[in-house]
Amino acid sequence: MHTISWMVTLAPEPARPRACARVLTWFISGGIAGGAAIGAVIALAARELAHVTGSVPAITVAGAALLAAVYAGHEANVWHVPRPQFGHQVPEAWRKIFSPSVASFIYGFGLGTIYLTRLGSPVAYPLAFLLLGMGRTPGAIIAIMATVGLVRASTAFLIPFLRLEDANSEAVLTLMRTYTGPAKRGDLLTLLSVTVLLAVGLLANYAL
Amino acid sequence: MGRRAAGMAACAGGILLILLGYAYTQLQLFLFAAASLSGIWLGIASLFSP
Repeated sequence: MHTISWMVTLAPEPARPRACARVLTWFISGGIAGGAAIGAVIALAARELAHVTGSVPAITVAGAALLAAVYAGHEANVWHVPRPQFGHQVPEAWRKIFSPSVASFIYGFGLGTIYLTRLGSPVAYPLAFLLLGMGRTPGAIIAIMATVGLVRASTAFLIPFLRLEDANSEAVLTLMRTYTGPAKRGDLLTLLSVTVLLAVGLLANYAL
Repeated sequence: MGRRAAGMAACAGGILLILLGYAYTQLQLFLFAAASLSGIWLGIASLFSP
């Protein structure tokens, strides 16, 4: 968010609303493209997996439900589970190399790839497992990941709504930290909901 | 800027509905519900991850 607001401040004061709209448009387009790209990679892996192992949706659904339950326990501080992830973000220097529109698209694309950047939530793990079991519906995998990229990039809409165009990085970080507690509860609630949804679906479709 | 941002947000919401609508036609309801719930929260949660 800080990067987006920084790029907006490059424009002279009267042109900032137009610059903000342009940067946001490219950023969100990049988010959708990045999400679709990582979705295509997952879809390819899922299709190969389906070819090798045959169709095993019940196993992947059960695995995703188990992973969701395990990470729900982690979020509830019942036990500790490692959270493997790539720690890097899109390099900040890129915003100085490229024009604001190109840099916005690249930033959005990078964030949209989700699994190649720092993960915002452990929900990413059961989701990946679930998607890997959907090898017969690659379009759905791409659509779901494009949705994630779009939603992730759309968080930048907070910039105009909260009037953060001129905010420095410290102000943005402070705003993010304010919601650490609710975010953790949101993680827990989502993981528990996913566990229940998958368990009920598993029982209804495969066991009964 | 508010009106322009609101228009863009509405446009993004439309694209979101199209993507989710397509996924809905491809998947069983419980798979769609679990995947879309996870995906949407994963996108929102990045807001709180510095």
